[in-house]
Amino acid sequence: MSAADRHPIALLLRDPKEVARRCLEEEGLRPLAVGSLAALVVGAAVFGAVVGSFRGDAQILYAALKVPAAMLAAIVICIPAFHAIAATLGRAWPLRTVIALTLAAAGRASLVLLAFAPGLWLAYDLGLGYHAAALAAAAAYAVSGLAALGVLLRGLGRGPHAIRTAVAFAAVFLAAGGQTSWILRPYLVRPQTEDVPFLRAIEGSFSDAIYRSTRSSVGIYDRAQAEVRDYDVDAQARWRSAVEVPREAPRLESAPAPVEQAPLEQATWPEPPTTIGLGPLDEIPTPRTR
Amino acid sequence: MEATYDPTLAADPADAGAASGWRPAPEPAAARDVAPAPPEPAAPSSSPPAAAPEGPRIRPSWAAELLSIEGGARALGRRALVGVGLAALYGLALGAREGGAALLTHALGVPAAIVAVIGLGLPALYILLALFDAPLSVEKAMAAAARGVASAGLALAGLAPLAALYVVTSGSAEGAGVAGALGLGLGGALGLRHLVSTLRAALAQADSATRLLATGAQIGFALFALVLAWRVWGALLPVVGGAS
Repeated sequence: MSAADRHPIALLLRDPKEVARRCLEEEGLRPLAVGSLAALVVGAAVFGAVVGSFRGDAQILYAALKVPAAMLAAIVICIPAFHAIAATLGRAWPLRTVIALTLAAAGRASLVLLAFAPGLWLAYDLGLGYHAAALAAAAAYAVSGLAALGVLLRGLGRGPHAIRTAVAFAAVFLAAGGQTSWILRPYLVRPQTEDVPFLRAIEGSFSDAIYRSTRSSVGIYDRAQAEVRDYDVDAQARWRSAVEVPREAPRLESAPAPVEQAPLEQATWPEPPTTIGLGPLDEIPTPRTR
Repeated sequence: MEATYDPTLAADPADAGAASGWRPAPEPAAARDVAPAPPEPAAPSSSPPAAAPEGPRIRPSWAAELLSIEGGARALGRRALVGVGLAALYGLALGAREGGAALLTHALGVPAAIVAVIGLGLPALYILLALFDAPLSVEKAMAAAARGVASAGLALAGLAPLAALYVVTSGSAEGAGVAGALGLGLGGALGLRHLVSTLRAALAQADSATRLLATGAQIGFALFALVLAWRVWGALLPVVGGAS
């Protein structure tokens, strides 16, 4: 095997088992950690830039900054939890080992995101719709998560509670990554959106959003969503009042004979604005923000 | 002779005499070794016995020492105190939503439930097991208690940053409460699991009838611990709906 194949980046891609061994035995951790961190920042930034390119302009920079920031923040929050969970489930590893293993897993995931970036960019450029774009990005995240899990599972080995520990790791990372991403949204923004903030105001939390989405999927709408619907109804009412022609126009003494009006039923009415759907959470308008 | 560290030994009291996690390298690797190497090809009969595959050599960590059941009353007490202190970190994370006095309220409230379960429940369990003539010494019961407190504290401290993230950034108090309660439940369950498994390991020498009775008593203890912990947390922690 050539020296290039032994480079930490190459090891991350080709030999997760060796990466896991190095992490557990604390062998060559510095180059591995530096390589993983570099892969994480570059891969996530490029992927974020591609996601931001769906809207373009400043959103490219925003998303390129926010995706790696969200991932790094999630890692910082997860590491103590990983350390504690591993220890209480039979793997009392040193903290250095946990940090290295987590960084390596995240670095591998980011390299997968980097690999997806050109294809995703091309799909966006060819006119992929908003919802399909969101799904494509989510699919890339899912695959990258599996790649990260490959490193973690090899680190956990086949000892007792390995699966339980891996599930706990995944659940903790999902919770931390979900919330940090929620705080730093939006990432994917429709092209017609005029002003894109760097950060949205805090509205609920990642878990709140999942809870509400789950309830609404079975037809139960909570107050926040009802507000959106009320707002929508109000918007239609305002629109109607703005375009409505008075049925009896005021008549002035000196005014000429009134021109015969066309019957109301024959008037051409433009279509009212369609109901605002409860699509992706980034796109939900609320009275507070708009 | 080089020693090999097996972290699973350090955390599983069922593996007798290996609480420190260290063992000599030539010892045949058990099936529970961490990340075992691929199996060796079958050696010819004329060759010497193939060396057992070795797992990665992992140095002992402070967490392994914290969860150990070795040592006297002083060492066990120190570990239990560390566990209480670590649990208080989770309380600080919960109190971060309100800040100020809530930090102290939560920092005291979270370990209070753990102390209550150990202080009220474990003596009762010991008396019950003694009635069945279960071979459980006071020292082993204390070791189980120290290990339970330490593991609950360690788990809660590990989850503290995640809890702080949710508690501080959740828009609704309900969301913050649910996030905090989930962490409390997970940390408490891990501590309870360690306590009960340590007790079970201590009772491994008993006859089957005693073990059966002891299992029933432990299940009762676990239920008591869950209800009591929830009662204490519900009463003391404002973030999960307790007194404000």
